[in-house]
Amino acid sequence: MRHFHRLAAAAAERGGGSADLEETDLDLLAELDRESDRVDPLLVRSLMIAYHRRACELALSGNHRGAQRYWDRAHEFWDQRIHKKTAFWGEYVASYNQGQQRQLQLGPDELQRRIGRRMAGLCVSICGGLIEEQEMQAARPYWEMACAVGGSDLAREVFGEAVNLDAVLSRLDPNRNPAAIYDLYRFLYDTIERKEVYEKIMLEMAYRQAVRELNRDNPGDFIRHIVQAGEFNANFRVLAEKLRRLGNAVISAIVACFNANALARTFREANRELDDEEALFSVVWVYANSIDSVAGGINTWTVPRIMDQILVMVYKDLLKK
Amino acid sequence: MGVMELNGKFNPYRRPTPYDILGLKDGTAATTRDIGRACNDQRKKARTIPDTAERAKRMKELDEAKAQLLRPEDRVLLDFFILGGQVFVELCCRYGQKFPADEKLPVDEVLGPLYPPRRYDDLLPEAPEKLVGELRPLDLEFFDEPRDPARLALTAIDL
Repeated sequence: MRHFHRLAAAAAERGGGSADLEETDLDLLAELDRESDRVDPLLVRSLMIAYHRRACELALSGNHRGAQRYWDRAHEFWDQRIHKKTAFWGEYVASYNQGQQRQLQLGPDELQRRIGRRMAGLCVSICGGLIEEQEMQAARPYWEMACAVGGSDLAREVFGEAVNLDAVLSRLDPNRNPAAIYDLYRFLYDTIERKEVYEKIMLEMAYRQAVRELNRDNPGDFIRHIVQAGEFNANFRVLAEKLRRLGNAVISAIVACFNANALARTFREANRELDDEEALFSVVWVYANSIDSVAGGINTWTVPRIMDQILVMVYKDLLKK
Repeated sequence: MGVMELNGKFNPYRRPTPYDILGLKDGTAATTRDIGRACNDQRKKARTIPDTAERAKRMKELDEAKAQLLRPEDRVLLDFFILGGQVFVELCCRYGQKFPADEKLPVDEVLGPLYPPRRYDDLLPEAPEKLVGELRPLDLEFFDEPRDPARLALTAIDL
């Protein structure tokens, strides 16, 4: 009787039209569900949708932390009370068809597949929106939720439809912002699908970033990006190891020596069409590869002594290209 | 972080819904006839839109909404995610059915606010004084007191 009174009050307040449920309404539905002696499909569906809709509203307003507990509850309802529950779907279809002129001909399995696809699609769509905003950390849980609701194959299928990667990429300039593109592909590769094309792009982006950091005389990040490139290319793996042995101080010394070198300056002025950043990278590459062949190893003292010799080799190669 | 715009196809809570487009307030309960009638009404209104492109867009929107609602397999994907205020009314009914027949239910308290008596205010013209002089006087005889019903019946038999 207590529940009946509370329901009556809620019904009277909401009337027949309002669809906005308050937090107290959710609590009332949850309490009814907890204390119900048998499964009521209307109550179960109402609760799941109420949580799901609240989660969606919060997520779309950018409050992902607040949305998470509602997503968890909605998906818990889906997993444990709705998905693959023949009794639920049987009763839902029967009550849905009651009084309808055109009867729903879908079987319970097909209906729950389509509903699941829609739920997974929502998560994938939010994931795509966050990718567009380059919020990769916030995007990952949505992908995981989509996989949990509909399975990873379905999530991938929906991802292709829901997310326009070309539009995202067109907004990112690879020359100005290679890090953003790298992060995007890293996310796609680690989270969505391990495609070969993603590997190639990441290798290219890691290389570009490495060259940029080297020219900024930032050896730590230079080595970090070479390590990233090494994940997809064995030559870069070897180079990364040798660069670590060279050390940050020696790499900085190579950069300083290259910038101050008269031969390099002359060559630069004579061949303005050649990429100077690439030349520096090649010089460091040769130093790294010579680490075992130079007697006594390479240190900040030996760098200037062999610079001219290395420059000649590098420029010959560049001119051949 | 601002409000995110989603690909509408994958947002089950997208507004306006096809029901909103057709102006069906109690959407999920609408019958095929309600949908057809609402679509016709909206199409009539749409014909008055002066801009051709705007009119064509509205017509297309109406046709798509109607088509979706008339296909049960599409409509159910919409209805499943709609949580109307009716949920409490329906639950109330279900709970009410569980009570023993001899238990007194707070019927007035429950149903009263849901079904308020119609006041017929909507039948009155907004400015009744404007009608003065416009209506022809009725050529009928009025009586202050009604005739006795018993006598009426007798008169009918006499005829």
